[in-house]
Amino acid sequence: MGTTTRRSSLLRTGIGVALVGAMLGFALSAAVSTFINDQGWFTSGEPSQARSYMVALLDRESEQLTQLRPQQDVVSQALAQQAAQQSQQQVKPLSLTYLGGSSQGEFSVQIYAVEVRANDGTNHLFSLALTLLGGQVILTK
Amino acid sequence: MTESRAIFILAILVGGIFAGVVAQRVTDPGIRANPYPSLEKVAEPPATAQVASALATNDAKTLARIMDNETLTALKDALTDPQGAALADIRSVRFVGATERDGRVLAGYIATGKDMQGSDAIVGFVLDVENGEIVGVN
Repeated sequence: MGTTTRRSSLLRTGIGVALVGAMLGFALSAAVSTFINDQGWFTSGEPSQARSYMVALLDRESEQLTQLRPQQDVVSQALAQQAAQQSQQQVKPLSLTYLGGSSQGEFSVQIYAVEVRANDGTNHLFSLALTLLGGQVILTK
Repeated sequence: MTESRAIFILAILVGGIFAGVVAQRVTDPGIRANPYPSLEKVAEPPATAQVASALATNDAKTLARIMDNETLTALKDALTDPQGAALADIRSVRFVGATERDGRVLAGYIATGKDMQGSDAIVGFVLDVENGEIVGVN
């Protein structure tokens, strides 16, 4: 009886320790991964949220864009969806180039060059500067 | 018994950490792939380097000489932080990259400094160059 109780106690402790270890490992790995990405080590330094935003913008994924922007009211979301639908008929993205970016405090600025083809067949090259705060795009210029 | 129990717990902890790291790496989608081609990067154009240098050294005379009124106004608008405050005291201007298509170059810069309220600010702007001259600012 005593042996069974000890084994049961050891098993509970083992499961608890394994769970704590797994959470610790997960959090540690996520933190290191984010830090390396933010520092630009082994990568171009382009934050994943900025890339996702730009691809979603060019692919007119309005729901994905909503997730990457600060919370908006329902009317603003509807207007954004209308704008995305209208631009779909007007331009075709040709290229997306990451120029670079930098961070200061909580803010991060990332700059892209976008090339599109208009309905009349002309190509246009323009730039977009994204300002990110807490992983969300708060300003697009 | 106590020693073997400690070793067992330690092994379980290390195993848990390892499992957590593996789970994070497997579930982390990483950076989304860019489905579009990227243009070639080019060197910083001399005209934009001059503007960056003038901004960094608060050299209004050079800016007035090398940029027309319209592009200067656009530059003023571009140098506003997310709160809408102008970057009043520029501490640094860093070239981050440039690309070119059909003779048109886009050169990206990041300016840092203090805004009108004295808060730290960071602003990105892009100078548009054609035939060696600045024709636009974003």
